[in-house]
Amino acid sequence: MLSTSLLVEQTLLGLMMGGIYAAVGVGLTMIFGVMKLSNFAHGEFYMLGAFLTYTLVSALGSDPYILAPLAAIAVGFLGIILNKLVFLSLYKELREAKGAAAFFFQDLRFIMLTIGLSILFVDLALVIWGPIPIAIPSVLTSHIIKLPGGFSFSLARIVTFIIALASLIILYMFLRVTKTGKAIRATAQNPSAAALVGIDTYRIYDVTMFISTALAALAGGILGPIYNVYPTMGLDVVAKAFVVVITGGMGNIIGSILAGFLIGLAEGLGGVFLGTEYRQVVAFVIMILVLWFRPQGILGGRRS
Amino acid sequence: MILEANNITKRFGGLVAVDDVTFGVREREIFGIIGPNGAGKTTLFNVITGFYKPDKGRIIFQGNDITGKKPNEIAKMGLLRTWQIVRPFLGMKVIDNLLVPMYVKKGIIGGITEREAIERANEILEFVGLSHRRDFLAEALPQGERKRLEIARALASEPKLLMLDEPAGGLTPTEMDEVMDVVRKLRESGITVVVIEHNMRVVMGICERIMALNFGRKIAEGTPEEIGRNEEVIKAYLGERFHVGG
Amino acid sequence: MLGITRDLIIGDLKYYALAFILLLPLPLAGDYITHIAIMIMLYSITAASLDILVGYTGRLSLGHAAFYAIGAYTSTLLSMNLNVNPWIGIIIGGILASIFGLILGIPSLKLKGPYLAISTLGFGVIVQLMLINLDWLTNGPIGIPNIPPLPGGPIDLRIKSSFYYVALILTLLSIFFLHLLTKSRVGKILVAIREDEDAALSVGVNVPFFKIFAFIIATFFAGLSGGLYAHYIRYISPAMSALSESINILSMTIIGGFGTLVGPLMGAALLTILQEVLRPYLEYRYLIYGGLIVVVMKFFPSGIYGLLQSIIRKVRG
Repeated sequence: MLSTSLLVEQTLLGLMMGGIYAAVGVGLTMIFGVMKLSNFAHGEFYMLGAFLTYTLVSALGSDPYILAPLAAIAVGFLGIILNKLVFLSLYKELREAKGAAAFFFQDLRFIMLTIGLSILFVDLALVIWGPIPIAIPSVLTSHIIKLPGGFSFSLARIVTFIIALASLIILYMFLRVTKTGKAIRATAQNPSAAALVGIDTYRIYDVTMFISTALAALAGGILGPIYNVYPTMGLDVVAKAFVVVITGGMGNIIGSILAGFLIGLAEGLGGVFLGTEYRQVVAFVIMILVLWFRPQGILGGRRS
Repeated sequence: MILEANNITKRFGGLVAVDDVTFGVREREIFGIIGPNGAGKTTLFNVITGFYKPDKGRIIFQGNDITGKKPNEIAKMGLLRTWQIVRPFLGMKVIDNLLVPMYVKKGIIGGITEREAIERANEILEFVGLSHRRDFLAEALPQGERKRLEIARALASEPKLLMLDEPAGGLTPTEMDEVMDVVRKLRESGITVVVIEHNMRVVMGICERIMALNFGRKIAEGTPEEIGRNEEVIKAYLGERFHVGG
Repeated sequence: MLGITRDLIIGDLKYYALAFILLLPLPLAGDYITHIAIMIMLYSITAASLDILVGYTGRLSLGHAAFYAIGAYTSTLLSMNLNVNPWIGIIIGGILASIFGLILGIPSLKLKGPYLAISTLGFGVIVQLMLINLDWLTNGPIGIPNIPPLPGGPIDLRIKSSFYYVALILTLLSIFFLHLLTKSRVGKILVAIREDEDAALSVGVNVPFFKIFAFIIATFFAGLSGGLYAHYIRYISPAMSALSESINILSMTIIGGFGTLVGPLMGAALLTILQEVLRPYLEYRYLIYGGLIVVVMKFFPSGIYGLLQSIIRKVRG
């Protein structure tokens, strides 16, 4: 009944999608780990990255795989602007909140604000680019690569996967090795202590927001050639991103990366065994299982 | 013995916070628990009041085994506690802070009429000297008054045993004297009091018997004079003094 | 009983009587206005019910629309397949919604903050997916049209102005009940849980019990208003359980001012009217809606009602 080739194909496709989930989830978990904030607008940076890439491609004619990083950087700066305009002042009030109820109030306030931002950005995209799903043209989509075993994928998919994986590896190395990376990890562990040893925590928040949003935007941009780009694509992804974050452990980078691939894989296989209608449920069922049995996530909720 | 804690052990991962501690509290006495920071005092409190489950040991309150019971069950049995960093219901009025435990203790539906509840709450507020704050939101109270509210709230639950976690923390000497007075008044009204306290003046001033902890273990138990002379206790505190900054 | 004194009930009753009288002549303004008013009232019940959970007990739920949908589908299916009287169907819809509330509430006990929020979100998504995929039962993504109206005896409740009075009475009754709840002993206990769970435990409050209690009450009323909606609009679809709908309800509660019960009513009115007023600006509608949420959250986090309260305080001096 179930051919091995279908299984293998779905596994590979699932892993490829997993790379995207990981890239989007990692940014979300970083914001949570460093600033303790749940950014419900995160999916919109992914979406903006995709649309911005499309616009650049239309304007400049180059390939989206070259322009996506540029779009990502632009979105990264948007993240910093948002930080300075709205996020950081709320973050301060969250840090200063005394008592469980005050913390809940500020937390809810931030969640609601980012929900508002999300609605705003989706409509902005609708107004600027229209509701019709767009395909981003790329040379690589028509190049078919044949892998051993009889599977063929477009070069585009493979490049998308490679870029996603590469950016995750680069991020990991950045956090491990560079001074700024270590400062980010220190701030996530203990912001007051980090400030005491001379870390400019507000710069760190900007850097973290930049990385987080740029990574999500990059994921959107490199996914554009494979799947259609539409204003609500961020909403579809943000729920999965939260699933990734919770499964991996909130604030845990490695956890999110692993969880991203895990969920991509589970979705792919779930689609095979349960039928395509139930694919979407898989991620949420995993999340519910994690929340009930191991709420700290598979690797525990602190940074790697 | 109104409270017996036998062989209480509590581990967090590899760290043993409370190590085989056994002690008993006699009815209507004022019992003190002292020890340097990190000695396991608050952990012991949390175990006794049901917020942590002990890895080993039993807790007997008024003849009943309360080991493993939930905190709210233990509270309803008459074992109440206050918190080191006070935790009043900030968004509620002072009087409501007292009414909630009263409803819970006496019965939410029926059990106690509203008038009786308010009367009793007023009495308790007078006892701790907070009558003038009756209708204020708890968050409007300064720290010293919040400490008294903390005690008042526990009293609203009609405790037989009241455990106070560092009631003198952060208080001025005058405020400390007030707290010590309140504790003595509590004992006079028939309540047994267990106090964790860092401040030696307070401990020696009101406690009849004291237990000293260090690194999770009981190192001494006895009257204030005995404890004051105890070499291990002196070493533990001296050691702490040298340790500061290190 | 429950700490609700006779004085309390009578004292507030006059406001409800006043509201009833003021709102009586509304249908004279025409069918369109009447429809908006009905929608505001239905959303009021849902937003107020969510406030019990979010504002009073401090438990964030991003899946409240799921219970609204469960109530709607239950009443619809009962009335269409088993010929159950819709009046009863609506009540059963509320009860079934609260049973699901119990099912979600129990494992949610140990969750808080973003974990709780996401799990409720996940629940809402799962309910929507179930409604879409169990098409032998729910008719799938197309939804169910031609739902029977509420039987009104001699009165035709398909007429908007007639239904309006049914909705008015039911809404006032529901809000009155929820209002009394918040003023009662139970209400104070819920607030204590919101303020500090552990402190509440330490004075004897059975926190898990009351968290579930709040869930059940909130989801019952959401289900109830969902059932009302079904027999009013007479068409339902899985989109009722969408995340966007949950967010819509949450926005009403929070922009109005959570934890006040009155706030969510204002929020329901404001956002429903806003969506209607902005309807011609189809594309830009959500720019304004989203922008409003951002502005209110940044500058007036206590919502409209909170803003009004501070203005009144300043005026009083």
